[in-house]
Amino acid sequence: VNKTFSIITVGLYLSFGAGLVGSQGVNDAQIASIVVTANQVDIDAGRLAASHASQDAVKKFAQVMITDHTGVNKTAVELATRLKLTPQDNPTSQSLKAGGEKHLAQLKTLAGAAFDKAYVEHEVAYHQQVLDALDKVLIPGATNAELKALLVKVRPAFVAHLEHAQHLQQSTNGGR
Amino acid sequence: MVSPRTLGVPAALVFAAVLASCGRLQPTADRPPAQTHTVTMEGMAFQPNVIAVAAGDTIVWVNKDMVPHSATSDTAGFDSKVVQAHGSWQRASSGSVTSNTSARSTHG
Repeated sequence: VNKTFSIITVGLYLSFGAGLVGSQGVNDAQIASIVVTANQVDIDAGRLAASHASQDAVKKFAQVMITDHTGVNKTAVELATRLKLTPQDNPTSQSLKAGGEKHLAQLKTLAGAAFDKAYVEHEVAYHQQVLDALDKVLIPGATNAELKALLVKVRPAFVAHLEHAQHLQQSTNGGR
Repeated sequence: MVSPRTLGVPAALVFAAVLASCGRLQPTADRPPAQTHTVTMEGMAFQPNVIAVAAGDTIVWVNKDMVPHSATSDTAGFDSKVVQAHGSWQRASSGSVTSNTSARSTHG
């Protein structure tokens, strides 16, 4: 996890990937909580960006994040319910939630191109860390086969989100 | 060309149809019964990514992902619009075609 990158370029500390990688392991109930929280954090940021971003492309990206992460959460909650798996709060979920709130607070101080840039950069770092966590902790750590399969299945969508956010970075950084 | 609506939708998949006309259609009596072909949208990809379709056949795209997708022809003038997660969309073929359904993420 490129922790330094996230701190310097995003200006926020996203402890998702780093925190998970350093953990002693998580159980399925904790994984369920992490998945739901991670999606909700990005939904919340997307809702703000969908209304506050200045570029149409950024607004569209934000809308996709809302739609896709809502869809993933719906499936995750349905699976957890069927498995009688009650999401269990844990330090990573708490850190995710706190990081998301901090990010929202920072975004609310910004407008125009600065807002777009901060949102998109955070989305790049966020999805990189989510993928890192999926690969190193969540997928290997899931013991229930259906939960593991869900995590594997959602991975390509997160890769597409990352690629999309990286593409947007070119325009929000002035075409560089 | 990809429709503007699809661009900017990273979760959407573009159906890059390569319509290769097979020339004259076969006489009706010689044609095999119409078939239904299923293309799944899963893991941000189409499966299969190449299908041969005869005139009168139906193609059904089934979205098995947790996110919406679309099946949009680059050249054949069809667009599924949004196919919701776990939803499907179908289209009858009006001519003999070979469809390359290679998927790609779309970025605005």
